[in-house]
Formats: sequence, C-alpha cells, structure tokens
Amino acid sequence: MSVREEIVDAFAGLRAAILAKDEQELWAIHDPDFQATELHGAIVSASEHIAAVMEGGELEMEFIDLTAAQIAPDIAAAWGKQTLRGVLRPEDLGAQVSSDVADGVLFVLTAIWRRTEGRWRILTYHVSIPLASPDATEG
Amino acid sequence: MVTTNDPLVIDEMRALYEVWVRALRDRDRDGLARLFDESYFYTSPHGIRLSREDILDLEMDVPLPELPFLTFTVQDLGELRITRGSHGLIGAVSAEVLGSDMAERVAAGVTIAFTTVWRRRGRSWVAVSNDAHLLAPE
Repeated sequence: MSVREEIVDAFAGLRAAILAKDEQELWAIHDPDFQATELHGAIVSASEHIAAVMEGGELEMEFIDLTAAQIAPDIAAAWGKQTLRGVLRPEDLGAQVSSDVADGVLFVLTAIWRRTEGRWRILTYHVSIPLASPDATEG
Repeated sequence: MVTTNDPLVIDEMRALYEVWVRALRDRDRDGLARLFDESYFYTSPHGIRLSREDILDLEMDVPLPELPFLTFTVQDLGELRITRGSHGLIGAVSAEVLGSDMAERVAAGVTIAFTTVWRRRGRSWVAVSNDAHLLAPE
C-alpha cells in the first residue's frame, strides 16, 4: 500500500471516529502533539478538538480529492477538501462559521500525519474556505 | 513537545520569515525559492491551492506581510517544525491577482492566520506547505 493509500485510509478512520463520536478511537488517531489553528484563529489541542466532536451535534462530513506525500521519515502531508454539515458549538469555529456549518460548508484542507507505533495519527491541519463554494451543500 | 519556549528555536524560525519578507520586498524570486521545498504548496485565504512555481510568481504582486507577527508559535518536532501565527496585510493589489473580493478586502486591511510546515534541510529549514485564512474582525 502506498503512503497516499495509507493516508486516505487514515482519513477514513478519522471520519468514522468523528461520526461515531468514538472517543477512544479519537484519542488514538490524534497524535499527542496535535495542534491546529481553527478558523477563528484559536490554536486547539487534541483534547479541545475531541471535545468539540463529543459535545457537538450530529455531523455529516466527507474528505474528498485527497492526495498525500511522505515529507520526512514517518511524516506525511496531505491535501484535499472537506465537507462539513451539522451542529457545532459557536466557540468551536467562531460564531459565523459554526452557524454556516448548519447549512454545510466546504473547506480546503492541509493535514500532516505522523506514524507512531505503526499507525498514522493526525498531527495538525489547517482549513480555508473558498470564497465561492458551489459544492458547499454536498456531503 | 506542544509549543516550544526555546528562544533559539523561535528566533531561528522568526528569522526565516524575515528572509521571506525581505525577498518579497526586493522582488528576489531566487531568494524566496530557496525557502520553499520543491514540493511546496500554498493555500490562499480564499482556498486556492498554488504550486511552488505559481506562488513564486504571485508573491511578487501582493503586499508584504506586516512584521512583527501579531502572534507566533513554533512546534519543534525534530525533523519537522510547524509555525503558526497571524499578521496584518494591507495594500493595493490587482483584482486580476487575487480576485476582486480579496483585493478589496486586502486594500481595506485584513488579518491572516497561517500555518507553515517546515522540514530540515542541512542546517536550515525549507517550507513544505503554507496555509492561510482570513480572521474575522473582532
């Protein structure tokens, strides 16, 4: 299996854990050093990211157009898009974006994954919102 | 290591952005290219993904990021470093370069949040990716 295929599988695992609100699996798939800058500028840790999932409402999401490349030993970078629709707390992505998520949004996504103990775990991500997002209600 | 407090590491990464902005100011395309890994990708605040070659051309036509950064953190992961922060951006830019909506916003002044991923190359670091988005006014 190529690194790209492994990372696509890892995204599928992340999606499944989020949709199922599987807290144990969410902890397992987050690297202990995970940090990410959310759209309102706050840097969130793994515990904060997992709390947003666990305490939010039902979500629908897809990762699409993913590509990935190994950039260092046991480190892979991935690029793609993500749809997200559902209920988030206003503090999770800022009031406006969290509200927009109710109708569905499309993100452009970059993520870094690190392999430890034989498993890829997400280390960071950064999302941007395309100004025009005709696919925003898909997924 | 979550976020480093090592001033040497922070200063080393801060210095790379000073080189970056100096290359933009001097329209030094080769100098800027030396900061970017061959696989470098940039994702703009409006969600457009650009290759290394594309961004090297575009960067010469946009206003300079304001230094010092408003916020700046470094995550030191050995062979990888991740820098995060925010900066002001204001100035005239052609609508053909960024699109009319972004050009209008940048003309009025915006705050950009960024995440840059760096990998070690020899004694220095090259950027593998850089992602940016607009922060809403407070």
